[in-house]
Amino acid sequence: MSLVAVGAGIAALTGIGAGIGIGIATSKATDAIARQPEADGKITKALLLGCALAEGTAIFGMVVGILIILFLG
Amino acid sequence: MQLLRIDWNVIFTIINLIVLYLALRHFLIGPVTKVMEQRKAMIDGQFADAKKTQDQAADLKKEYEKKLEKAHEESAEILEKARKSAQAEYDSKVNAADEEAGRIIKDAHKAVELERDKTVQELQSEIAVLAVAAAGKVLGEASTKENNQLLYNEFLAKAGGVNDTGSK
Amino acid sequence: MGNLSELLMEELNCETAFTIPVFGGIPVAESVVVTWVIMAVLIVAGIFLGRNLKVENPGKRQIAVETVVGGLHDFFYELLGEDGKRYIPYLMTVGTYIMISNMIGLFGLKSPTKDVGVTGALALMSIVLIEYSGVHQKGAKGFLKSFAEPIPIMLPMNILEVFIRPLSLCMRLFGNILGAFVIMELLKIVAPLLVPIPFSLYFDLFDGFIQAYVFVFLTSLFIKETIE
Repeated sequence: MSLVAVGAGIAALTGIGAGIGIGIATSKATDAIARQPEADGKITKALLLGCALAEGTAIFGMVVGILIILFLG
Repeated sequence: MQLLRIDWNVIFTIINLIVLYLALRHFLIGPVTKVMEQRKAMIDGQFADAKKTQDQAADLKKEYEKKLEKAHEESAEILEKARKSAQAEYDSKVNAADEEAGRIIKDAHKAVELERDKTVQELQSEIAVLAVAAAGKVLGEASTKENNQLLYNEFLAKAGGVNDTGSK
Repeated sequence: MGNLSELLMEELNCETAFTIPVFGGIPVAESVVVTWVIMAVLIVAGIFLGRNLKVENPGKRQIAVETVVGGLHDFFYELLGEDGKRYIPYLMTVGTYIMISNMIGLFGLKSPTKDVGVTGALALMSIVLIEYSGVHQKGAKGFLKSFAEPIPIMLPMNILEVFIRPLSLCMRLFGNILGAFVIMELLKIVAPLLVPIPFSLYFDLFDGFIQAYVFVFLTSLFIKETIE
């Protein structure tokens, strides 16, 4: 049981990557908006898309964690 | 434990979604989109109408301006014509007057000439008479030197008395 | 502590609302029942809002409806272009449905999108729609050919992509809503009074809106990519 919990915890580490990715994307987007406030809409759109994709990894980690707990626990 | 369940409910959900889509499209999205498109078409039509009217107005204005210009030109032309005809009238009047005056002067000249001619003729005829009388006297009386001198003097006196005005 | 995890598990469980007594009993999940509620609300609201529309002199109700529908229409039109115009009503419907599903936690109901069956169904419909748009735009032959583009080696990748795209859509929505739900439930168990309100604003309203936006945004991007 404890090993399963460790596995689930490792799966949750995917959140680190997603967090870093979204952080970088947002910082760049803020930069870009500061430089070109008129391109606001397009930048926001691209940022949302990028965030959604980056967030996907974290979500997959979470799903894997849940699956580990459910099927191995 | 049913955290992840994939069974009949997937099909139910799909049916639900299709029904929801058809219903919303039929009751809400379709009519609203249609109305918005109709309004857009109407506004476009109104814009086109306004543009047409404006164009017509511009055309009319241009036409009026043209007409006005033409009228200006015409009036100038008429004025010019009137001036010309007045000038011509004046000229012809002046000419006629000149001619008249010339004629009168000529007539006067002619009359003077005639008078003179008549006088000369009368004088001549008188001189002839005198000559004839002188000749008669010479023939009648003795033709002496004294007599000749006398005659001549008499003639001169007579002729001089008559011709005093003319040839001095 | 064991009590807490049991409570949590109970909340996470997708209950069967009732069973249709045919074919040995077809279970109808709670999420489907909630979906029916949402459908009923949406259809009634649609019928009410879509009535008596006038071309001239619209009322306040109509102006509001037109602003919302027109805004959504413009948003999708910008993404899809003229060729993808016919998919706009579907995307609007799905977007509205997902948004309301995500936010219905506010009313004490369980979000249907927390059930992987619902998000799976949504992803299934997305995949069908995306591939259908490709067939409709390019014809069956052109559609099959498009799998070997830009080079034939990409064929397995392209085929895999067909399944990966909707799977990631489905899992993203499910994972986000489930994660938010778990956190909200934990909070409610630990501190039932007042504390959950700001978190509820974030997880139910903001996250719900963003996830609905991302779902329809990505679906329309995929459609656009396929019909190009």
